[in-house]
Amino acid sequence: MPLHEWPKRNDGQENDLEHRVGYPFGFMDEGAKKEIRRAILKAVAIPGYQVPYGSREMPIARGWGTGGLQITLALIRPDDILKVIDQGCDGSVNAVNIKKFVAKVAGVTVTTDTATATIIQTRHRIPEERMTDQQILVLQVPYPEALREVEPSEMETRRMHAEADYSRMWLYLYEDIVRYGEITISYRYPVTVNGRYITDPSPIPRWDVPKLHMADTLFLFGAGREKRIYAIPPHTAVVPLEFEDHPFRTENFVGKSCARCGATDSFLDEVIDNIQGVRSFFCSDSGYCDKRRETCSR
Amino acid sequence: MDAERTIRDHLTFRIILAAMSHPGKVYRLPEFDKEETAVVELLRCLLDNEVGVTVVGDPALESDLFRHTECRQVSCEEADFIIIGSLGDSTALTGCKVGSLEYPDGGATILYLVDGLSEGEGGIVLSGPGVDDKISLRISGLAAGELSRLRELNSEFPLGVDAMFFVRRRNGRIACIPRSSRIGVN
Repeated sequence: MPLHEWPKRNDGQENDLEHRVGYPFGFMDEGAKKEIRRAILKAVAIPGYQVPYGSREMPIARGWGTGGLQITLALIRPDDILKVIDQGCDGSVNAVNIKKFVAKVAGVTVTTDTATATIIQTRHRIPEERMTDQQILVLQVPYPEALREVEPSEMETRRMHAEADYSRMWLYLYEDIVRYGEITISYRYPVTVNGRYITDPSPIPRWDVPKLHMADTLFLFGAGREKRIYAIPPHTAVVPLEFEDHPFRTENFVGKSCARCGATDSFLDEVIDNIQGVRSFFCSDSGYCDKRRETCSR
Repeated sequence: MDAERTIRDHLTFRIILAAMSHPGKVYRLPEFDKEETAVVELLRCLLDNEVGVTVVGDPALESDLFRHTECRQVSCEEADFIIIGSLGDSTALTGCKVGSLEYPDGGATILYLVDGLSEGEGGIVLSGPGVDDKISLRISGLAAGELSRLRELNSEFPLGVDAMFFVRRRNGRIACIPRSSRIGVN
């Protein structure tokens, strides 16, 4: 297939490769991309295991999504449609910057619509709309080690993972229940992937954790500062840690709805008006909210 | 490196990634220039001088690969990638890397060059992560006993090897069996 055929998309449109002059396709050097690709393949083959890799310098600071960005750049295709979200929002500074950057170095089109995107890079949320097997979700991860809370040493957590010795994690949860009557972890809720590794699902709210279980989509996790890549393949069992008498539960929004689109089935952010002190709720997933408003107003 | 080659590597990798995350599904690769160089073009998106490779049973491919990808030629016990040609005797696989419990990602990736791949009844049955319930994969041109060897190497998850099966044509096809898959026979 000749070069000019490549940017053609499934929807008949074409991405603009001319756009990206001045940078090699995908920005990173080939050696970096190859290492990241090998790490991704091993991560997919061992679901939930954190593969170490040599994280590269990016034009944004470590801790601002470089892990996710490196994964996105290593696998982007010229016919991709990219969506980037930050806490569910398409319009936040970090998301817009990453989106613009990838569009510049890979010539891809950007979108805010979950359904049309082929790659979605995200920080701290999984989109509300169910994703398909043709899509990939790339999650930015600040702390890839789920056991870090109970064990500060990397050597020791590595041994714990090797031996599947997770008693201290269970003890931590138990002590939480003794102290507060329930497990108080609100985000970064630890999950067991494929019945083997306890994994950090990145700081997504509890609301999003069930979306990882037996999904159609491939989830790739990149921690740039901590230099780890891990993955949850589609159709993989992802079970949040729970006790028989203290089952896992998600956030409760009963009786509340989005003040903008009226949704009662999405994760809501609480916003308090500084002047009048009025408390209202909005969809955290801005793409979902916009889409609902559009279809309602039609 | 020219833009065309870079972009081609991106396209190839996405297909390998799709195959690895959907074990047993057969994927078509973008058209290669020549049948002879298909393996080199396939692996170029992954190999560089940090990777140790062994080729079993295909001397022509061996010299091509080392010339074009800068990967290092190592023994089977040290190889990160093991390529088994259609004439290859894979008894050497017995000693290959399966990783350690601390670092299971050290396990080798094995590329089998086979004659044909198709989905559907009558083949081996795979289940596990990436597979919706069960999937059946037919592989032709694979030496007898190869799958049981693979099953043996992968019997102690997370230790093991990840297998890719490649039909070496200009319109190449690829399917994968990562170590997380359970291999059954119909």
